[in-house]
Amino acid sequence: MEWYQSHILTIVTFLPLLGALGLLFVNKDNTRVFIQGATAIAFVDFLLSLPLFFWYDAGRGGFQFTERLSWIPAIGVDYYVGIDGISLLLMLLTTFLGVIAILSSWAAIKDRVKEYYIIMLALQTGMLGVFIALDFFLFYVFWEVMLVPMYFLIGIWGGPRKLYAAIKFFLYTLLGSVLMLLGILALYFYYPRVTGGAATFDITEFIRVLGPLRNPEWLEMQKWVFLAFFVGFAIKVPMFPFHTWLPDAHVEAPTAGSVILAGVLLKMGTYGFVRFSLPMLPEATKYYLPWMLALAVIGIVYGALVAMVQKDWKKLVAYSSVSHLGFCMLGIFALNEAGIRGGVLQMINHGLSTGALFLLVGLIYERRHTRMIAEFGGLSKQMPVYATLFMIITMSSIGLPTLNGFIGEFTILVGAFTIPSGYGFTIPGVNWFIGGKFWAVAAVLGIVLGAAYMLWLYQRTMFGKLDNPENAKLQDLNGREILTLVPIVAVCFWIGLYPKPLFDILQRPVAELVQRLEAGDSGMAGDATPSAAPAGMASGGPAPQ
Amino acid sequence: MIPIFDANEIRLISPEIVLTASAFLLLWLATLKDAAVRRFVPGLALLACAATLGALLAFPAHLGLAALRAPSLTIGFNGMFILDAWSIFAKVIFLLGAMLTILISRRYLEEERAQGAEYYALILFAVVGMMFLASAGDFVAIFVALETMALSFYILVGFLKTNRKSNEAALKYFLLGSFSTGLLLYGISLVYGTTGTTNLGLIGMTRAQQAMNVAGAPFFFLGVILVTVGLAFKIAAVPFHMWAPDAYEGAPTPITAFLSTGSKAAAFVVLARIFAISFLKLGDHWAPLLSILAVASMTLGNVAAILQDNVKRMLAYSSISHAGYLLMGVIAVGVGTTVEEREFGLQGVLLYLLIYTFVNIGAFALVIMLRRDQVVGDRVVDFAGLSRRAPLPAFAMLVFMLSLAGIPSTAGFVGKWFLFGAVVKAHAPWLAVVAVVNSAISLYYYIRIVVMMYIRDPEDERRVVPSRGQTVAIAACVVFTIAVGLYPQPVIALAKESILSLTPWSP
Repeated sequence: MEWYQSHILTIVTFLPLLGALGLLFVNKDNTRVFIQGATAIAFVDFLLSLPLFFWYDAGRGGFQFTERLSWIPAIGVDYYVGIDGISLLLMLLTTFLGVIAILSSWAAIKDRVKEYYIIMLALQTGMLGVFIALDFFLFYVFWEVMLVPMYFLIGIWGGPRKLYAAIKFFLYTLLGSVLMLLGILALYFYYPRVTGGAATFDITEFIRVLGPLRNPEWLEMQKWVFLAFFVGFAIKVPMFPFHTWLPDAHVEAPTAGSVILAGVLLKMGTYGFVRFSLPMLPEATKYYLPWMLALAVIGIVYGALVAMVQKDWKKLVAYSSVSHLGFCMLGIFALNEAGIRGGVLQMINHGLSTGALFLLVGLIYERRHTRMIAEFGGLSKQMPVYATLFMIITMSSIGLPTLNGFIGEFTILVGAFTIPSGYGFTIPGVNWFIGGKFWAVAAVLGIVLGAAYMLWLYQRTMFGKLDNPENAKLQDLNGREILTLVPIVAVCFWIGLYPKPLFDILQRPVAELVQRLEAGDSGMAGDATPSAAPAGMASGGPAPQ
Repeated sequence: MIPIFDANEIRLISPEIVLTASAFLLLWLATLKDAAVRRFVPGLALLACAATLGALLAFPAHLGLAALRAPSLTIGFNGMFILDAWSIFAKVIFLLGAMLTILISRRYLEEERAQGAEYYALILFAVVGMMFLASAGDFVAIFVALETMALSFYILVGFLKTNRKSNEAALKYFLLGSFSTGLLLYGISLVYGTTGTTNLGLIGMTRAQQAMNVAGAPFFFLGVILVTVGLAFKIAAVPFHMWAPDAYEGAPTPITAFLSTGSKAAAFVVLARIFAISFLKLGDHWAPLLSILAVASMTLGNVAAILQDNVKRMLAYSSISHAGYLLMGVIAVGVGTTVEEREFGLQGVLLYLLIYTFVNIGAFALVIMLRRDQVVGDRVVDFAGLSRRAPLPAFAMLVFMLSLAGIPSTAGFVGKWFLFGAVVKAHAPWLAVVAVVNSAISLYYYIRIVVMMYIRDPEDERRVVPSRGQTVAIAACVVFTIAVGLYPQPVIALAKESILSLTPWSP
C-alpha cells in the first residue's frame, strides 16, 4: 500500500496508455474486446484514483504524492509529479469523465472501433499528465501531445465539417502553446541568473524563487511572460476573443469528444492561470488584471447572448461553455480566496454539468440524427426519464440552489464583489469608471441570461405539443445510457448539498496562492500610475481599501 | 629526406581514405559486365560507410572527446584539416544519412530502371566531400571539399537520364550551384585579400580585427557577405532557394532525401565553423544579415509549402523553412554575449541536423515506398488511405510529420527546443516569436498528409509492402525519432561535448 501511495500518480496517469498499447495487439474485428476492455481500463483507473481523495492531507498544504526521477539532466528536466488540492479535484474529474465518455461511446461509435478506444485511452493519459506535472518541460509535453489524439477524435469520428473543425482546433491551440513555450523558455533561462545555480524546469522552484522576486528587470519581463502564457491559456479556456475554435470543435466532435473537450480540456486553460500565471507572475497578473476581468465579463455576457440565438442544440451548449468559463476566469482573477476557490469549484461544476449536457444532446442526436432545436418539442411525454435528467442538469447549469452550479457561482460572486474598486478602466472622454463592483454586477447579468437560454431551450424541446411525427417514435433511455448520466447527477447533488469536503481540499492551496499574491502588494501594482496602464485606456490604479 | 606528410597526419584522414578507396572500388565494379557482382554493390556501399564510421569512431574511442580539443592531436596539413569533436559529430551525421539513403535506393532504382554501381560510388564521393568540408580549417580546403560534394550531386540529381524532369533539375542545380560557387570564391578572395590568410583560425584570432580597422574594411565586409551568400545557396535559404524546389522534385527521390539532409548539414557545419571561429568578432554585423535570411526562409518556405500538391516539392519548401530554423542557432552565436549563449546555439545546430537527417530521410522513404509501376507516389493524394494499405509505415509517416512540426515526444521537438531556446537565451526573442508562429503554421501542411493517410479513403485498395531496405531504413528512422523524443539525454550530452572546440575564446 505504501508503495502504491508513492507511485499512485504515475500509475493512474499511465494505466490508460498501457491499456491502449495492449489493445493495439488485438485484432481489429473483435469490437467487443475494445469496448469492454477500454471501459474496464477507464473504470479501474477511476477506482485507482479514488484513494487520492482520502489520502490527500488537506491540512498539510503543498504538493503531495510527489515522485521525482531524473529525465534529461543535460538541460535540467525531471520527471517530477505531484498534486495539490486544485490538481487533485481536476484529476478526479478527468478519471470520472473518462469512464463516462467511454461508456457513452458504446453505441455511437461503429466505425474504426479499435482506433477509437485506443485514442480515447491515450487522450486520458495526456490529460492526467497535464494536471500532475510539476516540471514545466513535462507539463509542456503532455499539454501538446494531448492535441494529437484530440485532433484524430474530431477528425475521424466527427460530423460533416470535421476536417475543418479538427485543423482549426489543432492550429489554434498549437499556436497558443508554442507562444507559451517561449514564456517557459524565458523563465528557464532567467531562473539560473537569479539563483546562480543550475537550470531547472521545476515549477515549485519557479514559484518559490521567481514569484516573490521584485527587481525591475524581472518585473518588466513578467509582463511579457504573462502575455506569452496568456495566449496559450486563453485560447484553451477559451476566453473571448480567442473562442472561435470552440463552437466548431464542439459541434463537429463526437459526443465523447465533446464531453472530454468541455469537461477536461477547457479546464487546462484555467488551471494554467491558477498554477502558473498567478503564483509565478503575481505583479504582471495585477498589472493586467483589469483586462483579464473585462475579458472574463465580456465572455460571460457575450457567450450567453450568442447561446440564446443558436438554432443548433449542441452549439448552444458550446457557447454556454464560453459563458461559464468566463465565470471561472472572473473568480480566479478576483485574486481573493473566495473568488479562486469558487473559480476552481466552478471548473469542476462546469465539467460535470456541461459534460452531461453534451451527453444529453448526443443521446438525442443518435436517435434523430439532427440537433436543430426547431425539430423537437414535447419530448417529455415521449421520454420522461430523459426529460427528468435533463431538467436536473439544466438546473445545475443555471445555478439552482441544492445543485452544484449554485455553490460555484455564489462563491465566485462573493469573490467578485470584493475586487478592489481600483481595478478597472476609466473610459476617456466621458470619464466613466468601469471597475470594482461593476464586474460582479455584469456577472449577475450573465447568470440571468444563462437561466434564460437554458430554460428556453428546455421549454422548446421538452414541453409543448409532440407535433413532429418523427419524435413520436423516440425511445427513452436504456440502462447503459441512464448509467452514464446518473453518476453525474449524483455528484451534482453532492456538491450542491455538501460542498465542504471540496472546499476543505481547496482551502490550503488557495490560501497559499492568495498569500503569494498579497506578499508583493508593495510592488509594481501599488506604484502603478495611470501612465503605466495599457495604451488607449487609463487605469485608475488600485485605490487604497 | 623530408617526408611530404607525416604518418600522424595521414592517420587523421584515415576514415576519408577508407571511403575514397571504397568509392573507387565501386567505380571499378561498375565497369564489370557481370550482373551478379553488381548485385552486391549496394551492400558494399553500406559496408564502406560502416567501415568509415568505425574508423571515425576509433578516434574518440581511443583518445576521448576531451583529447580531441588539443591542437597537436587534431590539426594537420598546416591547418587545412581539423579533426575535432565537432567534425566527428558532423561526419557521423553524413555517414548515417548516406547509409539510410543507400538503403532506400535499391528498390527505387529498380523501379526507375536506372541501376548502376556508379550511383553508389557518387554517393560515397559526395560523402567524402562532406567529410572534408566538416573538417576544413582553411578557406581553400572548404572550397575544394564543397566542390567535391557539389559535383557528385550535380550528376546524382540528373541520374535518371531518360527522365526530363531529372535532366531539368540537374541543369538548374548545376547552373545555380556554379553561380553560387563563384560568389563564394569571390568572397573568399576578398577575405584573403584583406586579411592576408585563408586560415579560419588565424582570421578569427587576429586578422579579422585588423582587417576591420583599415581602409580596406568595406572589401572585407563584402567578402563576408559573399561567403554568406555562397553558403546560403547551399543551405537553400531564401532568397537563394530558387533551385531547391525544382531540383528536389526532379532528382531521384533518395537523392532528394540526401540532398536535403546531408548536403544541407555539411553546408551548415561549415557555415557554423566559419561564423563561430573566423567572423565571430563581426557578430553584430552578420547576425542581422542572417536574421533576414532566417525570417524569410521560415516564412516563405512555410507559406509556399502549404500550396504544394506534390509531396517532394512540399518537403523541399519545408526543408527551406527548416534551414531558417537552423540559422537561428548560428544567429545565437553572433548575438550571444557569453560563451554559454553561443554554445547553446551550436548545440542546437548539431542536434537539429542529426534529428532532421533521420526524420526527413524517413519521410522521403515513405514517398519512395509508394513508387510503383505507374504510380510516381509523390502526389499528396497518393497517401490517401495509407493507414489501411500499410498501417505500420503510415504510423511511421505520422511520427515523421509530427516530428517535423515539432510536437513533443518526437525528436523534432527536442531540436526545435534548442534552436528556439538559443535565440531566447541570446536575447533575440522576437526571432523566436517568428519561429514559433511559423512552426505552428507548418503543422497545417504536415497534417494534410496525416489526414490523407488516416481519414481519407484509399483510391487503390492494394496493400503496399516496403522492400527490405526500406523497412530497415524506415524502422531505424522511426525508432530514432521516438527514442530521442522521449529520452534525448545521450544525444544532448554528446552534442554538448562536441561543440566545445568551436567556442575557444570569447569575443
